Amino acid sequence: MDSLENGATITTCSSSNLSNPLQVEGDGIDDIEVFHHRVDSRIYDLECEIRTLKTRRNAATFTCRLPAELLSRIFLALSHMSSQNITDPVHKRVDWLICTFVCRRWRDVALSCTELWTTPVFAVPALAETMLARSKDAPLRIKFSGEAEQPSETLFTSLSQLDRLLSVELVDSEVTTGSSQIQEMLSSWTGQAPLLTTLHLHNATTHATTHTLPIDFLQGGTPSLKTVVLGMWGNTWENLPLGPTITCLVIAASSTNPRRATQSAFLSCIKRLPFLEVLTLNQMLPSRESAVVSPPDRRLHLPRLRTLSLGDSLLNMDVFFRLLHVPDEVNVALHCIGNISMLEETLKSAKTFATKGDGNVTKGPQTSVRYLVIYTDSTRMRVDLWWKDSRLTSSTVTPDLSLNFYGNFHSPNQPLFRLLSHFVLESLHTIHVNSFRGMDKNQWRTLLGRLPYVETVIVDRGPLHEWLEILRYDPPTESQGNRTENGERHFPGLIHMGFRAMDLGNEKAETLRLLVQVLKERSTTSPSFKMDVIFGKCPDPNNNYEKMKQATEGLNVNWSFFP
Amino acid sequence: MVLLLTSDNEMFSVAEDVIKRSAYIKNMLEDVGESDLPIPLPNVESNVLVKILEYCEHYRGEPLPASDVDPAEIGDRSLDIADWDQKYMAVDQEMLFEIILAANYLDIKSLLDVGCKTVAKMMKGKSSEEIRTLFNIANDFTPEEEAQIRKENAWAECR
Repeated sequence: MDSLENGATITTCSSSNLSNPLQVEGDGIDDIEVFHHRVDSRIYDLECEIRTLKTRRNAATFTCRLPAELLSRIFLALSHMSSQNITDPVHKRVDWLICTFVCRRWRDVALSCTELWTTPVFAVPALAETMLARSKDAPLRIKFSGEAEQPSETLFTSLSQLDRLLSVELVDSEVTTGSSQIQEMLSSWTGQAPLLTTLHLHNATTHATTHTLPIDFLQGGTPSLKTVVLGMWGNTWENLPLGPTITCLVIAASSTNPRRATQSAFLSCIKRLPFLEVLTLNQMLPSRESAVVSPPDRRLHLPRLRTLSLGDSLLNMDVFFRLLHVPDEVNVALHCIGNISMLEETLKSAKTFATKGDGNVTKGPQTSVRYLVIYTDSTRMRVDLWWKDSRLTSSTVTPDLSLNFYGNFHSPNQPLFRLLSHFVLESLHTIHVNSFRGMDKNQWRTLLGRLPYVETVIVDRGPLHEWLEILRYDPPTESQGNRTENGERHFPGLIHMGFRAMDLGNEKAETLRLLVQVLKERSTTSPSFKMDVIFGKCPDPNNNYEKMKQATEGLNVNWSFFP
Repeated sequence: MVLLLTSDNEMFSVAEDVIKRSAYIKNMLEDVGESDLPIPLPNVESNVLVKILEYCEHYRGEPLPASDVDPAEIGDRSLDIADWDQKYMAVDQEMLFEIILAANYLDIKSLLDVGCKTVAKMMKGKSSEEIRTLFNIANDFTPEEEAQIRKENAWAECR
């Protein structure tokens, strides 16, 4: 046995010390078989010796000089990089296995690093089985998407080890043939899951009511549970493993959820979650019929909440805001279903969530919105509002309030402006409108065009001509000059306009004329004014884009194309 | 100021708030208290310490990262290597592994993390032969091990 620098030992072969490595014991070839045997044995010894030398050589390389725990750390980093992207095909997600194929030292380290094997890849049953064996007693992370894989013996063996489970993400899809087995397995989860931090169950089948949690689900306790995500699992609040360790609760039920909680059951569950940071409830709010409205001072407080997303009828949301009080820093997204005429009442209730203890409103309809994004199509309208300036420096900042409405929005002007009338817009800086059609020029000018601090208007995918009509100055008349009817220049602070993928309409020449006019008007009144126009690359037989570029030469406009 | 003595007997005088990114030094300072004696670093050579101090200086004043956060829990963020860190790690292999060893010895979790991710990134998408070439490693598997590896390799290739 030889000892390596890193403490590993290697076995040397029996006859490795011969002075001439090619020498074979005995030199006669009287018996060919015996001779071959001797030569083969010698070849074997030499091969062993070569491998030993290679191992010894490897021991002096940078990677093999690392202690096992550091090499393991590198392998774990590689496995996280590979397995993170779940949209990748399986072979890419397991390409970290390569670290076991490089040399003996790497393989030994990888096979001894139990953590490397704790997320069995169920799409390859033999691999999943090997991984489970190599993970020994280490905590398990179960990810079963139900698409590329079918429930296997290894899956159920893994899931049955409740005391080892660290996180569980199970998606039961239409293609999964073992649905009932998964349900059965979950029914046996009545004990304690001491390590479980994440529980994510999603029923992607069309049978929303077939998946339920048993009444004694995880009754033994879940002292480490932080995240619970349940999608279409026919849940009732009473059966959920809720406790004070939970910081993220996401539950989605179907729109016909028959298991809505009563107000008291709902409140008693929420009371068990004092450290909640993320709350997303879709069709899981208590029904209005069961509600007994609490006076404002009796509202339940969720001091740590930072993200709230509700998807429900306006009526049920109204109930929610009468029951709970959340901090004003919370990013709120409301997905409203139902009659938009209920909006006023809901917004009135929503105002109260932003009220501080001293009664001052620091966020919400009483403070001015700084950044506004409006998105519509025929079935949906979304209005995102930012009170903080952070959105002006980063486009990825989540809105302070996101209002989503589902219904018929073929004529979106009226509901939009009715909605906006509930907010203070005096300090509005940026308006970003996406896919809005059927503009009502007067409404836009009256509500938004008079705001003094609007510096930027960005429009994605809309009728360019209609927008230019809104933004242009009215033709001079005897009494008005270059002003609107009220004597105010609309969008007076505008210094930046951005148009992206706009529809040029049929009257392209007229649109072009108007564009040049608006540019000239704005450049005259605001020397720093600039315009960015981005078009999708498409056939342009009449050379409209080129004509526009030529016509605006010398003006501060930047033309570009989507690739 | 804190005095550090490297394995090649070079003395460094470093601001306390810079070197406290090292949990090893931080704990030592807390245990021993103020002292004029240098802290010996028998496992770190001067050229490596210079590099380590560059890192600590760059992140001076920034909060120390939470120790050993589970990368699986923080998701995609765990894969990112900041631009500055990438440039910092653009060194030859010998220095890269010396940084990793020193970060481990000095207990600078964030630097160790960046070092390991940098090596992992170098390996990503490569075949075993390419990795051997990259790190100058010889294939020392026995024929039996090779056979087993071929079998296992199919898991990663046949899908």
